[in-house]
Amino acid sequence: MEPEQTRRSNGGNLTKGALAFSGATLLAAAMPASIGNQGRVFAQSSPFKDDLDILNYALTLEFFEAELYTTLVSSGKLQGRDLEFIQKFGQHEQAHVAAVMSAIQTLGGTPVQKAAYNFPTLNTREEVLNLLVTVEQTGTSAYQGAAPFIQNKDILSAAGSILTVEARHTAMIRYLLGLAPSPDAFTTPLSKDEVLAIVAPFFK
Amino acid sequence: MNDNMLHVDERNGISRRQFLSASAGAAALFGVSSLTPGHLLGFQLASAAQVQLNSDLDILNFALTLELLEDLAYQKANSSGVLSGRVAEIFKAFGDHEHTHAVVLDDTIRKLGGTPVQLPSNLIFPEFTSQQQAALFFAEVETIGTGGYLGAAPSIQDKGLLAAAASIVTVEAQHASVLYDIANRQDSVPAFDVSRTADEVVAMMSLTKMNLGKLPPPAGNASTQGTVGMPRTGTSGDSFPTPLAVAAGLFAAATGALLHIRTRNTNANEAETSAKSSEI
Repeated sequence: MEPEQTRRSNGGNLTKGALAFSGATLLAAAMPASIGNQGRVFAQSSPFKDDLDILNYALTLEFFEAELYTTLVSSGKLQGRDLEFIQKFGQHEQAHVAAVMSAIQTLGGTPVQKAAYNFPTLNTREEVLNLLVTVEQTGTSAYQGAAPFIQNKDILSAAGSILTVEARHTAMIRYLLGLAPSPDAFTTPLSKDEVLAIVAPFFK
Repeated sequence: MNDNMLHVDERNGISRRQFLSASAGAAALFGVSSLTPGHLLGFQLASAAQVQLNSDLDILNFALTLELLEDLAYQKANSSGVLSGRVAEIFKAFGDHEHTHAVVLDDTIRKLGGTPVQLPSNLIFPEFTSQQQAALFFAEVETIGTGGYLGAAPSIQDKGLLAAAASIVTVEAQHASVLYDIANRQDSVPAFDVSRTADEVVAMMSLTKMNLGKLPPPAGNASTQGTVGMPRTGTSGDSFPTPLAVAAGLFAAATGALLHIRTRNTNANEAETSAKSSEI
């Protein structure tokens, strides 16, 4: 992509800006020039059998996150403001488990069972928070990757209401770590295979 | 009584729709209930008129409107001198994100053959007088934006555009949470985000309806008679800060003028031109 002069003027036209490079790269990934083709790609090649499959994928991840939060909260490695946030975020994940499970049951599906996990022993506040950033970012990317394959609009809406919370968790924990909370203009989707590969080491 | 009439021109021959009359009769029926933790009010629109987003292009232009406003508001905040240190860095980064979002949306709309909405040159933006005031202002705006994207997403037809919207709404939500925390608010992250219809987004941005008594009368109009609608309060019982509300109202009145989305009709028929736009 060729650099172009950025012109930011009140009330005028926007021109493509040099500062948008990283965003523009993601633009290419997220919004290719052939918008219609991208739509067809999504329609033809879903990695999910159906919406129930997507919900159970979500439930798998929410069970995992909720259990991780419970474990880390009781690790004794967090205090004060950190602990307050992580406790609250753990409650969110439990609410997500309940909501996704309820959606599956309402659709007449069978929710997956909660798995058994291998969580690492972490020694410092930074290790705990960094792990949570990784997991929350993965969760965000999982919902983001699955969203275009969701067929039912109500389920899509519900997934959206969780997607953004996973993103908020990611940003706030980064913020607690003193990192740039929201380092890019776009978040990145991951495929189902990519997500499951990332979390596999934590599953027995 | 001043009418804030917001007109939306739609492409492809869809007729002009009139929405959100802020005349006292309609606005007095605005309900006040909080649907998000602690900070924003849910608006129950009394008027039957509604914002209609009838195509992906309409949705993109709606999103572009919000992003353009955010972009400019952040530019103003970032040159206000009230921000410093890490907070200033964060505000600058967030403003850059909004600018990038606007650029990308503008570019996409053009590629799809549409006409991107443009901001009028006479916008009035709030004065940013403190870090906390600025952070709260943007937290609210970002929350409205998050709700707007989530509300519009199920109507997006092209899956590639839906994927793009999903990559943006996350960032708006992140901004909101961080900014609420900077503003020392407790409820910076909800368990579930709330979707907002386009009408709700416009209503929330049009905070001026709650503060007309405090705003200077629009040029050429009789002054309003007291506040329109019910006083705004948060769920905690705190009153919404008056200076922020007034500032947000000025900003929101400008937003109302903006949501006069004019899109080019590629057919021979010209889209109807809108009559009036709201004036501050």
